[in-house]
Amino acid sequence: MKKYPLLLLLIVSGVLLTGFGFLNRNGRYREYEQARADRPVLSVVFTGAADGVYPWSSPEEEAAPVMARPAETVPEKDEEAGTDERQDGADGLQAALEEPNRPVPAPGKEPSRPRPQPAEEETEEETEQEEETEYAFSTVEESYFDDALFIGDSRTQGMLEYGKLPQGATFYCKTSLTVFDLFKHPKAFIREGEEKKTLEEALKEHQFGKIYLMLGINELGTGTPDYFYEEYASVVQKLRELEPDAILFVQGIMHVGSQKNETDPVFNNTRIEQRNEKIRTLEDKKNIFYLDVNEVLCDENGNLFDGWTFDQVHLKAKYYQLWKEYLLQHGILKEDKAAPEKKGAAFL
Amino acid sequence: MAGIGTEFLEGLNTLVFSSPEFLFRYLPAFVLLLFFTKGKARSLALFAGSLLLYAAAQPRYVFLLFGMSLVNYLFGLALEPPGRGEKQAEEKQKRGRKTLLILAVACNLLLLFYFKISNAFDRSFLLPLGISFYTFKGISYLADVYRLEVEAEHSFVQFGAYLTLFPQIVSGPILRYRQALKGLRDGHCSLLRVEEGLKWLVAGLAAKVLIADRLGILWNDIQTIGFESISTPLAWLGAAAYSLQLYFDFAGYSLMAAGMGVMIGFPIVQNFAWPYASRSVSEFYRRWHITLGSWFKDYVYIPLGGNRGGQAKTVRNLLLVWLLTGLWHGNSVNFLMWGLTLGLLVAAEKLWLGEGLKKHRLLSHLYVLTVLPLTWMVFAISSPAQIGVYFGRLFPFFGETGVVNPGDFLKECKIFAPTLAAAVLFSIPQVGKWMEKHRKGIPAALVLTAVFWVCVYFMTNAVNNPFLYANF
Repeated sequence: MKKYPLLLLLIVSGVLLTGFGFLNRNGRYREYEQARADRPVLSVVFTGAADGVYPWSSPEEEAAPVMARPAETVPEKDEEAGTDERQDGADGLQAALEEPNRPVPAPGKEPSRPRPQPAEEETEEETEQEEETEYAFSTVEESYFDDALFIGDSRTQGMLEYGKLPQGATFYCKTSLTVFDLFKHPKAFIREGEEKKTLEEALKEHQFGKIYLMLGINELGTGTPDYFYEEYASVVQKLRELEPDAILFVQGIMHVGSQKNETDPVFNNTRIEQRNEKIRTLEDKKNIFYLDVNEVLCDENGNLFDGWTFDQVHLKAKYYQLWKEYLLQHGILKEDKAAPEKKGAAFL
Repeated sequence: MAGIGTEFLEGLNTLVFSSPEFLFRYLPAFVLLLFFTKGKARSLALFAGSLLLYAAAQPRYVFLLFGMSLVNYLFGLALEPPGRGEKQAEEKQKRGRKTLLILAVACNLLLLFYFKISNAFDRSFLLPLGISFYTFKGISYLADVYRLEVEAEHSFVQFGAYLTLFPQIVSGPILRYRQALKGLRDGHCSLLRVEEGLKWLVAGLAAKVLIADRLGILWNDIQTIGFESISTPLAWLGAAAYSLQLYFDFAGYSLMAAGMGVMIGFPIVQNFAWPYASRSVSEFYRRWHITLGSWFKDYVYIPLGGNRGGQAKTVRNLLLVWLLTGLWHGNSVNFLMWGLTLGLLVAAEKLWLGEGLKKHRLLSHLYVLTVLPLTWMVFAISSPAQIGVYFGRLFPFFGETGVVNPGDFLKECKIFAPTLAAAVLFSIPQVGKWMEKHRKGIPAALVLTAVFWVCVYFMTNAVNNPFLYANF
């Protein structure tokens, strides 16, 4: 020990960690084990720790997996290239990343309102919606966003920082956010002052006229398109319950650049399109509208234009304007103010 | 080793020391193997093991490496001076040797040019791993044999072990044959050496994983935003962060290589000596990537005449050396610009600035700390047009070009302040020397063990997301 302290300490700790990883291979690390067959055994301890499964956390805690991962499991959660790399850091780092969301605008909004009744038993809106009119897109002014809410991952974060949207627009976004983080395993990712809230908590307090959803890139490595769609649809339904008066824009997942598309087995446009096809089916042209910004951001092969992205996943700052323009050209105006009100009530 | 010019190109399927596979599998296996072998068996283990490791990283070019070992070995033998004989024969031999040396050096250089140029025209053309380093090792060996500074190596295995030495194969340091000789012949691996080498290894690993790789994310962020849309404070922060990232990346790597060298019986090779504490650009490059700088000095600058031919010739020689240094780092226009800029700066210091810098302590530090990050930007950005855009943000005399988010600086500061502070702290020579002094004993071992496992944590979880190594 006196002569070779470092060597001994490293060997002992290495053996301990390996033993621990090995003994718990069917326990707390069972989800990591198969995927890591080509790695040193002790690495499961560290991959686990990154997911919050620590050697000292009780087995019960880890027994409830962070996320169900059926079928084609790829364990890593944040796979967006680039900025997301920081996510692999410690929690402290992660906390620093959660951008303070733009303060929620108060004017014209009731700070709180009674929570809508759970609508689960209703056999869906079909009967009611038959009476409603279908709407078509029209071009709108920027003030359209004054009562809009944007929910999304780092790409929406980019829109917040570089879209130059009017102050009124609200952003509930966070790097590596997934549909599963909204309601299924709710994360308190919304910062209001000192408080951190889950989406449900925040929506109970604020009303929005429009909600824009852009989620799905981080989920590409998780589960099947159907599994993703199931959760996406239930998110949409839940949003309708919580914000019955809001126009809901479900946005197709933005594509990736050609380089990534050609080389990445997970994050490619074929897989994105599989999921966009599913998202598209949610559109009813009455309350829910599908938008596909890829129409203006992609070349004839469906890849993000070369030069518009550095990391193949995120737009360069100045191109967020094109996304914004696209949204402005695809506004929905429900002329009859009374109608949505009534419909909202009927929905309840 | 993302970040260092050539590695952008050579690093496509590279050998990463800071990976769990290497640290927990290859390295212990190697050390054990060398622990139990001696003499010829050890040389064979070194040579064969290095080739195997190379093959594991980049199977395509392992025969090229083997072939170059053989070619340079044979050239070395052929360059051996003749025994003392008649004067005339000796004279004839001398000319023959010179031709032979030119041929041998050309052989190495042509190979290097062939790959670099092919890669310049077709970026998908894979460069052999470490070719810039092992050709330079080969040339230095041949030149030294020619100059009678070392004897030619008679054992092929021993020479092969020198050229392919696994800790140095990817990114140097460019160990001279004469420095390696003792380690090659009589070096051995002992517990004490492993203990000592591990300290350097862990220090280097921490520099690379905990500082350089973290800071790399900032530079990546800036590129993701697009240069035209960063605020001026962020542009400066980016230049500073990139300068530190490059240093910790390369110096960390060199420390790891040095540590492994120590473990397996070689002397420690110092490749960096606190360069950011320098007071001139010339001094900086005597303290940065030392083995490359001294290679250029010994095998290009001095043979060209050095500073012995008057001012004009000195400047010519300096510019030539720096142009070549630029080209060695990479094969795009920006590396030429980078080399030329440094050449001009070094020449200017030699002719005019040097005295002034010596007199003004504070001013000289300020000069180095402002000018060097600017030159690194030319190094980092491959397109001249984009370099222009970046400098437009650094010096925003012509207004804004993109969509700037004024909050970007604070946002990145919030994330990277601790890493940046650590980077600055560990760039200070006194801090480094204090650590070196206190590296022995149990408290240091405890700290290093903890640091090691923190590095492993980051490494393991960054393997999932190796953007630093992919897509370039």
